[in-house]
Formats: sequence, structure tokens, C-alpha cells
Amino acid sequence: MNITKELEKLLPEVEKPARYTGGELHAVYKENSALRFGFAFPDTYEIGMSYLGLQILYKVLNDEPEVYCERLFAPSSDMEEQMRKAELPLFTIETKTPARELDFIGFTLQYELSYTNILNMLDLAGIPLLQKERGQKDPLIIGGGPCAYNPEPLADFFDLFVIGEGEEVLPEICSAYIKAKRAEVDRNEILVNLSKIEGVYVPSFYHPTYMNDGRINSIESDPGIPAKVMKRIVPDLNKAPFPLKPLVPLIEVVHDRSVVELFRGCSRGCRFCQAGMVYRPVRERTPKLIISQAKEQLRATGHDEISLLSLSTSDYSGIEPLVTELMKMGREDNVSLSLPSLRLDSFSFKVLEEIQGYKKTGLTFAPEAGTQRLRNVINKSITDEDIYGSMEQAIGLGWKSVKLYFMVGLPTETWEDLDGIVETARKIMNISYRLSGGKKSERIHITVSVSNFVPKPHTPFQWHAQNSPELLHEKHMYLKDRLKTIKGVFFTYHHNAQSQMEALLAKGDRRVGQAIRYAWESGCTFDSWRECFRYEKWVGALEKAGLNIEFYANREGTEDEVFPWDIIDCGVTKEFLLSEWKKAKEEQLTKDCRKGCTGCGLTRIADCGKEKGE
Amino acid sequence: MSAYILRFEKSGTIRFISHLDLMRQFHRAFKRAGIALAYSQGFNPHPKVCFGQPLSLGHVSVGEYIEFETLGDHNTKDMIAALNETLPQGLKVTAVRPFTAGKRTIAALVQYASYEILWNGIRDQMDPANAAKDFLGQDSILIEKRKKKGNFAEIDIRPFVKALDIEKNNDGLVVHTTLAAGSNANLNPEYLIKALFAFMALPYEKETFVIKRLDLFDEEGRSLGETGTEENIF
Repeated sequence: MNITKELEKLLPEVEKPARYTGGELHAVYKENSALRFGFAFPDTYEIGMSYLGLQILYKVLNDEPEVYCERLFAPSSDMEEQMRKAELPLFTIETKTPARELDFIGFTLQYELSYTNILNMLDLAGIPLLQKERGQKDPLIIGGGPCAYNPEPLADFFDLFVIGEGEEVLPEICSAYIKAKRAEVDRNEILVNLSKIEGVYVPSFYHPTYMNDGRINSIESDPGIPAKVMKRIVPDLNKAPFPLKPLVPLIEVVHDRSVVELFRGCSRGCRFCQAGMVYRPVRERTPKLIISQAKEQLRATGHDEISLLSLSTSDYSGIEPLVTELMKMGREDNVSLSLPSLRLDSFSFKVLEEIQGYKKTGLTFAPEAGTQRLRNVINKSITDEDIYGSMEQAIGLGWKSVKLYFMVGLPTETWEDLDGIVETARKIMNISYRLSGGKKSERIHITVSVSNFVPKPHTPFQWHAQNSPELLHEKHMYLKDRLKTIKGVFFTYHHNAQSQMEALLAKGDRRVGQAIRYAWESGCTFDSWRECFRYEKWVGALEKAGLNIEFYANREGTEDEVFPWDIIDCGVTKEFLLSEWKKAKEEQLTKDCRKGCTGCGLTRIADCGKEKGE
Repeated sequence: MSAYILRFEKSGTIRFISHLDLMRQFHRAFKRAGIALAYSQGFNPHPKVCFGQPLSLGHVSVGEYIEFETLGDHNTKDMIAALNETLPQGLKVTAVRPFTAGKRTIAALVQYASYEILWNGIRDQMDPANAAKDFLGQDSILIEKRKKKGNFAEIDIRPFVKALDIEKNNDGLVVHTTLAAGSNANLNPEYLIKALFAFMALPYEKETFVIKRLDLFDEEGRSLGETGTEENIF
């Protein structure tokens, strides 16, 4: 079947056909490569193309002379319908090669609610879903990214997972594979070879056993296979590959701009935050390198916006001179600067004032919890003075709209903590009235946005029982009733059942895979899109698989609990996480580890840097 | 500051990007080519670039136009080379010349567009020359057009068809037509084809047509490439 020809017939019938055509600037075309890799993003093109990890690994893999990496995305439902009607298999964007003809398909696991899309893509590709049903000719299915830190719900569908950062380990996997392929080694032996590479987890070599109450008894690995898989890190970001000629999409994507990465990791130790735990240690790029990468990327792409990426922009040690320099560059070339996750200090205001100027679009601010007590529990080191001081400054400088982010359902949360959210909004509104002399027309617009806390693996809160959807609903209504009495305050909140399903998939074990399959079979895809999420289908799938969602999402773990993800070592020890969980319950803070080592266990694998006070 | 007009082609799979996306492609290409555009003054500066007439998604063209202002003076041949070096596959600049617009932008000048439409369909005993004549000989040509609100309105497209010619070739039919285009009156050639094929009792399937725009014209029938106050033409 000539896919290109068949595709041309379908394209006039679908929305945004350029999602499927390729031909972007800097797309790579290669012939006669020893290994063909499909980098698969289990969501639409616009979302996948906004992801820096895709750009990095596309470069890393294509820099390997013997490897050719192409891209795969989840077709939108209209395209899927057309493809199934025309019996067109899932194909690569670059050369329109059927995905099943590749050597590897590498799925990036960015959010749990994308899992049904993975099964759908495998099915569209004509590849058996279950690892054990795949044969010598089928591609190896590999997963990586943040959700691979608990790969177990997907264990039955994947041949292997990469734990941690992929820049170094993917080329290692490729060269081991090419060697094995040339030696005509069988599939199982290839997997044995790959499991010897640090950071590689081959789920079929691990066997969980369960206790009568449903909890895991133990997870045994096959002889010669490591009991635990240590994550991979790139020790020095200044030497790490970075895309200077990234793909430039032909259609508008979610983040349509150049990106430079300031640093990886975060030293703050917020107890709810998975990224803050698993991406340790903090590794910064030098300002000189960042600026030269920014310049080269802008020159190669023609973008008119550049964004700085990190978990907490303001924590970059040379943030002021760097931002000043980038802004100067931007003024000269009509390039705007985007600074996500900025702490609202006086320098930030100076910068935001210049960036946003007269058209102050809005300010976002994340206190996360409504009271000092609960912020201590979650180890978010921000005080009431920080909040009201920066809001006073913002309103004084002319901002008319602020968005406040909170979580509900955090451990130890009480109704007083929810009152604290209302009080925070009320006090900010009072500041606005005071500064405007009581004029209603000058009043600011406050959006209180509340998300449901989802406990994640490898965090101190992995033991926490998520609030039931009913309790979350009750809390939302409690907040809604009280916030509506303050004029100028708007309230938004997340879908409860979706958050519960996210917790199930985040913390699930190997048995959850069956439910994912049933959910997909009953028609679930794009579960992260609220309008596509079908709770009743998920409930049916769990029932069919004989699983109890509360067991996974809404039950507090015991201290000695064996978690499904205990076979993964994220660098931070379980002992540290447990001590943090206990400190959380005692409302005790743990300091930022730049100010002194807090003993998380990372020094076992990395030098966290002497300048951080060790 | 210097002002120019350029003509470009859109072909291949890039025909599936929208007008907005196309504009973005050119803004970026100018940047990559090192051609600094002049920006408007005011609170929200934007580059001084104006496109002739949006081309429907899925159509190809050999006659698209952009007028633009640059900060410095540029050699037109160098600009063509620099832009073509960096434009994505399927977009190609075919000519650039200095251009001083009159009072109106090129977008406001557009009154007509000419198209070549290929149909790789069945060949039968029909006489295409007569079909075109009979089709245009109708008092009115009514089509159903979807309105923004989702309901349909019946409109007469006969006044929007300036010329129509149909020939047979080895693969099917070649239709040449000149239609009203621009902000005053505009007819998408797909509507014409739909009406024409219904008139000829031939099946209309969108994906069986290749629609190519050939050129854009002002009210006096001059190609946009020949407008402006300069003497020299492409």
C-alpha cells in the first residue's frame, strides 16, 4: 500500500490535515539506516510538537549515524475514523512508513491519562498489544518519561522502559540492539542484553506476588537481572546535546516558540511534587551557553518568542543578568521572552513590567494551600507576607487580573485550610480596594483555580489516600459557596473522577493494565481531554478487571508497604520519602537542599555540587 | 525603509496549511533569511507585511503576492535566494521587485482570481466547450452556501463567474476560470465546480480535484504583479 497516495485522499476530509503531512523545517530524512526508531507521542501533533523532550531525543537519535528516528502521533478521532475505513496503518510523519516496520517504537509517558492512546496507536499500527504476543518481526515497544517512574500499569504492553533522562541511554540501547540484530539474536536475548544497560527496566523479567489483602508481597527478578533499576541522569548539562535546529511546525502548535533549558532538578523539596524528587540533582547550564543556544535557535527557526524552561526559573543562580541579556537581545530582534514559573520578587516585577508593559495580561501565582500550616505540611516555603506583599506590588504596578493556584485534598487538610483559600482571595481583593480608593471599576479580577491533589509515586505523599471524588466535590462546593460572596472572584476546579483515575494509573500495579485495556476496548481514548473522558466506561473496565479503584487511589499506604514502583530507584531513597511523610504530618519544614544537604540519597549517584553548601 | 512586492508559489503537501499558518511561515522565513522587516509603531508593533488574498486550504498556487517593508535596502535577487534557501518545501518565491503601493494595500486591490482545475475523472461523450457555454448561459446559478451560523442560504454565483473554459485531456478535464475574489465579492472555486458538475451530471468528490490558483487581478484586469507606481514589471 502506498500510504502517501492513500493519505492524500483522506487529507481533504480531516481537520488540520498538516498534522499528518510532515515536511517541517529541520525534519530529518535518511536512507539505509541500521535501526529505525519511531518517537511516539500519545496525543495530537500540536501537543507532541510542543514538547522539548521530543526535540532533544529526535536530535540525539538522528545524530547517531546508524539510526533514523521519525515521529508518530495519535491521530485525532476524525483522522482515526478515516484511517480505519481506508485500512491505513499508523505511519511515521517523515516517510509515511507503517509503524510496525520499525525496530523500536518509543512512547513518551508524560501523563497517565494518555495510556489508552498508546493502546490505540499500537492497534492502529497492527502491532499486538501484549508484549508476550509480539514476535521477532514486531518492533520493540519502549517507554520513557516521568510516568515511567511507575511503569507497572503498562508493564504487559511494553518490552522495556527507560528510567530517567534519555540522552545517553538511548544511543546505548540503539548500539546494543544493532549489534544483536547483526548477530541475529532472538528477541528475548536482545531484551536480556538490553536489561544489562543501566536505566533499562524489562518488565517481563520481574514477577510481583500479592498478599491476600491485595497488596504486593514481593517483586522477584529473574536470575542475573538487577533487583532494582537505577535512573539515568546526564551529569553535566553543559555537555548534553541540545537541539539548535529544532523542528519548526508548519501549523500552530500549543507552544510555538524557541526554548532553552536553564537547569534540571529542583532543590526546594515540595512534598507533593514528583518532578522535584525524580529530576534531582539540580544541574545548571552556564549563562554563556544558554545565550548562545538561544541565539542559534532563534536564528535557525525565525521564532518571535523564546521561553526559559526549568522547574523554577527564579532559582537559576544567575537569573538577573541572564534575563537582562535575553531581554536586550529580544528588543533588538523583536523577540519576546516568556518566563514560566517565576517567583514574584522585585526583580521579577521589573522584568514582567518590561515584558508585559501596558498590556498586562495577567499574573499567575501558586500558593498551593490556603494556610501557613498546610503550606508547612507540603513544604512550600512561602509565607503570607510573600503572598500579600507581591500582590500589593502587582496591583500597584497596574495588574488587573491574577490567577491563584491551589490544591485541594492535600494530606491533613481541614475545612479551616479551605477557609484560608477564601481568606487569601478576600485579602487580595481588599488590597485592590485599598489601592484604588474603594473604586469598584478599578477592582482586580481574581481567578481561584483549584486542582485536585493526585498523590504520585516517588514523593513523600505516595502513602497518602486521595480524597474520594465525593469529598472533593463537597470541598469544591464549600469553596464555591464562599468565594461567590466576594465580588470579582471567579472559581474554577478540576474534574473529580478524572483526578481519581489519574491517581489509579499513577499508583497502579501490573493488574491495572487489564483495566486500561478494557477501557480502551470500550472506546476510551484521549482521556486527558475532559470532553473525551468517559468515567462510566472506566468504572466498567475496572469492574470487568475485578479491581477496586479505592484500593489504589483512596487507601493510605502502610509504612512497610511494597509499592509497585519499588523496583525503580529514582535516586531519592524510600527512607527519605518516609521521613518526609512523617515530618509532613508533624507540620515540619525541610530546608531547600541548596542550603545544605537534606540526605535524600542522591549523593549515592551524583555530585550535587559543593557550592550548594555541603 | 524600502518596500517590495513578491510573488510566490504554494505546492505539494504544504497546500494543507491554512492562511494564518502560511503567514507565520513567511514571518519566520524573513527572520531566518536575515531580512529585517519594518514594524508598525504604537503599542502593539507588528511587521509591515500584507498578503494579497487568502488561498483556501488544500489549493495550490503559482500566483500569490506579499507586499512588505524592510528596514534596509536589499538586492531583490539576493532576497529571492535567501528566502528560497530557508522556506519549507513547497513554498517558493518566484519574483521580487521594489513596490510603492498606491493608497490601497494589495489585498484591497484584488478583484479577480484565475484558476486551473484538474479533474482526473471519467471521460465520456460530453462536449466540454458547449457545456461551459450552456452553464454560463443560465440566468442564474444557485448554490447552497453554509452561513456562519450553520444554516444554509441560497445564492446566485453567476455574477461572480467572469470566464469559464473546459477542455478534455488524457486524464479527465481541465477547467480554466476567472472568479470574483477579494473583500467585495469572493467565490471559492469549489462552489463553482460543485455547481458545474451538478450541471454536467458528473459526480462531485472533493478529493478528485486539484485546484491551482494562477494569478490575482485588480479591477482593470491587471495582474497584481503589474500594479503599483513603479514602471518595471516582473
